[in-house]
Amino acid sequence: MRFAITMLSVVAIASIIGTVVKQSEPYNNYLSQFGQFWFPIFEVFDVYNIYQAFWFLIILLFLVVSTTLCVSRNSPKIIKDIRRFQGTLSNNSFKKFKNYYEFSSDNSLNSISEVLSKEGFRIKAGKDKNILVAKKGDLQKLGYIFTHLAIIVISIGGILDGNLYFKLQESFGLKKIESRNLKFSEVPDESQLDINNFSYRATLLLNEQEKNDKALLRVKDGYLVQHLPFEIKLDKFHIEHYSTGQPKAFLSDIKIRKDGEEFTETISVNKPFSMDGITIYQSDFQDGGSKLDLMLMDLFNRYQPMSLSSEVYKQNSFNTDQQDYVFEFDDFREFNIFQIEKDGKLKTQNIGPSVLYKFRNSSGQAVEYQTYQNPIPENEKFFFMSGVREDLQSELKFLRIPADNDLSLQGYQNFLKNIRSEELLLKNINKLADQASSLDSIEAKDNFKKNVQDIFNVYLKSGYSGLANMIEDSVPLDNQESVADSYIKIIYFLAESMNQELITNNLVENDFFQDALNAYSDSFFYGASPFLVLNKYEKIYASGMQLTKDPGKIWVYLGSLFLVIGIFCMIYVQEIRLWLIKKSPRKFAVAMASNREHIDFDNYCKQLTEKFKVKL
Amino acid sequence: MILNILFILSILFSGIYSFINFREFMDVYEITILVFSVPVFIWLGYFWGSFKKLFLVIFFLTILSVFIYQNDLQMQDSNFFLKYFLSSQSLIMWMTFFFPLSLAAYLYSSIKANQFSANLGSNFSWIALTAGYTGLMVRWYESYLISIDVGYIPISNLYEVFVLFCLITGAMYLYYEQKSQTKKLGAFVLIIINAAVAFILWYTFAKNADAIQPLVPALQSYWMKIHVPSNFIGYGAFSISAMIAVAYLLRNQSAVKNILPSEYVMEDLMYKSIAIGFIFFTIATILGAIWAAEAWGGYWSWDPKETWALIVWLNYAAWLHLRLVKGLRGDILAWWSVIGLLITTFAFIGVNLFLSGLHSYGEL
Repeated sequence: MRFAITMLSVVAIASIIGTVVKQSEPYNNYLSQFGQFWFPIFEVFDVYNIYQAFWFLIILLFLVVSTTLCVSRNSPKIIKDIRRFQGTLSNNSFKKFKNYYEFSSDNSLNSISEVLSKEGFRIKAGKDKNILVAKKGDLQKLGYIFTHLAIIVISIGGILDGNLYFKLQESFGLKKIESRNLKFSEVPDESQLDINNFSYRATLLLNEQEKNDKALLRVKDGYLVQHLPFEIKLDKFHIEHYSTGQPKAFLSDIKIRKDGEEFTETISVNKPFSMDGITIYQSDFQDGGSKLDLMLMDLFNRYQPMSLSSEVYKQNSFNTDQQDYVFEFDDFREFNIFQIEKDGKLKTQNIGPSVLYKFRNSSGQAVEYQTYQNPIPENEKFFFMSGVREDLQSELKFLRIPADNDLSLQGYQNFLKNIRSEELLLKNINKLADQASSLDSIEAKDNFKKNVQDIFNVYLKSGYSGLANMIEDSVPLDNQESVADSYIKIIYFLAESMNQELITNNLVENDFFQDALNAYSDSFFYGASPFLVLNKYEKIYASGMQLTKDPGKIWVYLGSLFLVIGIFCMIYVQEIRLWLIKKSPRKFAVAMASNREHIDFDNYCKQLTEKFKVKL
Repeated sequence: MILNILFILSILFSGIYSFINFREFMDVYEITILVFSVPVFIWLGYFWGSFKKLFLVIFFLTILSVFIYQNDLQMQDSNFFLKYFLSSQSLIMWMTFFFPLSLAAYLYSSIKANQFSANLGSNFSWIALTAGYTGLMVRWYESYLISIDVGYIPISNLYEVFVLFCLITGAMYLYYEQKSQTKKLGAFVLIIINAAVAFILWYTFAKNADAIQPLVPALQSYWMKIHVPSNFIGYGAFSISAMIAVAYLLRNQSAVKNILPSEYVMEDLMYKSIAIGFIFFTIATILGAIWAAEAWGGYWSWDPKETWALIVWLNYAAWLHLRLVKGLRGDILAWWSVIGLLITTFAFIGVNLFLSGLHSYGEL
């Protein structure tokens, strides 16, 4: 018993460790988490797959065996106990009971035993006609058998579903875990499990229109290939949405083909499909290689926009700044649900597709981007957004390009072209100088023009931060703020007057320029990638399915039923032994005992005694 | 008599009305749950007389609220009664208002041995329960007003289950209070309820968690309607037991000696609440396993929540084993029950906070 409790505690502690150390991750994650020293030590104890560890299963097995022994040893005793009545009592020992009452009643012993029968007692009349022995609540003792049997049955069910087929073959050296990254067809036979495997939880990831009759079975740091008795084809994966935009259902339309027969099914979360003892579940989804039709726009207008066709998981090389880069498209999300403020209230809304990609230079360093296709509302304006980050741990920083009145990028593209046109700049600087009445001499005017041109060129070359550096280097501390102020005004004035055509063409409003200037200035922090405009796309999904074969399930459920019945019996059935003696024609004494005495029991004894007194 | 008739009629009305009007929106399992809930509620009323009154008040308040709403969610901003009393948000706020009052009254009654104050504490708790349960009922209705397909039973995120926890714990406590005829434990049990109330308030005001959000696909199942409540009966019962255990452990301190019920009563209540909690927790875990088999493809995945449920279960199984089979009583079991609450609390919220897994709904 003590040993069993120790083992049970070990199981509990091991289980806790298993919740703290994330299970079944790639082993490299553990290596970086625990370091060179601890990683192999933990590995020996199977900490990364603790619930499948050999020692863990052995302890469980031991617990099952010891419970079985316990039940088989105690059950005969208990059954005998249920059959047998307690012995009679001597007059003196009666009084030692806590629930001992003497009472007078006109009832006969027979009518009292009728009361007892109604209360559910079983009664044994003794040889002595004045003594009555009764008992009830034997089910409580059966509770013991039920609960312990339950644990055994549940464990057997669990063991049945515990990948035994492979483990047995592995222990004879017949099968082996594969850890190389191979196609299913290239996986050697020793890592393939045939359809006779009686229990597994395998996964299958299919792109739309793809099919397979083999699934992946993850084991420790590798996998096995599980053959299926049928072939599954994914016709289409779709997502249904609530009116608020959040996903409501994930569904896969699948075709199952077996022995030349084919039929269609739709599975979704909480609605799996079963066939041949195998249940197919919708478990996850990802992009299945969506087709993307893109336009690349240089943020400094150094080259004309160019088009690019690609796919998710595909790479495209690209050359800019005389350097070779690679686009790596990682994901395409058709739906992005954001909380957007509208009329003072937060509303969830789908803001449309986004592309996730990396832009990698020739030395292998990558910057990650997430670019949204549609302009996103913010304070009643619209912005084209693209997030950028240099390492995956940090948050995305967003470049926000203002949309024009047609909600397109055209306004900003024209803006870019205009502010980078030297001809326009000179023309508008002249205009500015002419307006400045304080410039009386030609020399002063030329000086002013040169200064203004310098300022604007610094902005064009390095944005506001370049200007800030310039001011810090050349202006005394006290004046920095006012100088910065006037520089910003100058730049704003120039930008606005250089872009008058945008206003007259009704392409943008006046408040466009401030945002556009900010966007241009932020572009210096955007990295080398051109701004990506998604023209068209064709979404292709991949659906992740799980295939479960668990013949032990029914036993687990049966055991669970035993468990509930058993616990209920043990807690709520009151076991009572009762002795009653007729001392004289009207005088009785009764003693009642239970293996569980508490307030309710005491009250019951009192009430029962009262019932004996009532004249029948 | 009139009470009984009204009670049974209102239950039958609710059941039949729902069946006739909402049948097409329910699957066969949900209809089964509906049909079974009718006798279960009637039995509850038979089992515990006060439940009948509670049910009737909730019934009429809910109908009143639905009536005022007129199927228009905007009414909660424009209608005075909804805005301040009968919308789910304000009802739940009223609950968070009355539970602290109740604790204060119980504390005062304990210190001053004041019976009036004890009754007041009890009544405040009843009001809090009424407001809270009505709040959940109305919230259920409101979720359907957002959109028919959004509607769900409001026991589905961390905010809602915290409200549920307060309500179930409160109801179980009030039952024991009547049963054992002592109001002296209110000052202890209301502490844990108010801890949950504090969390609800923080969660509401700091995180805006009271907004109704549609369910993620994994939670759209009739299992929700039975798995979650039975779990929270378990959690609630374990908390009550732990708070009584605290009182039990303090019984020899001169400061509180006189304000506690007898050792025997406390011991008994401690056992009873663990027993009922254990049964419901067992059932909840089994139901959870069956649901998991349907939604995730395996009845047991050693997911952190599952594993911690197992640890909680083993803990209380050991507790009951020691008491029932070995006949252990006294301080050890009381301490154990307090520690059990720590384990339960971790299983309840710690897992969501610190560990990731399939059960990660309602992160903070």
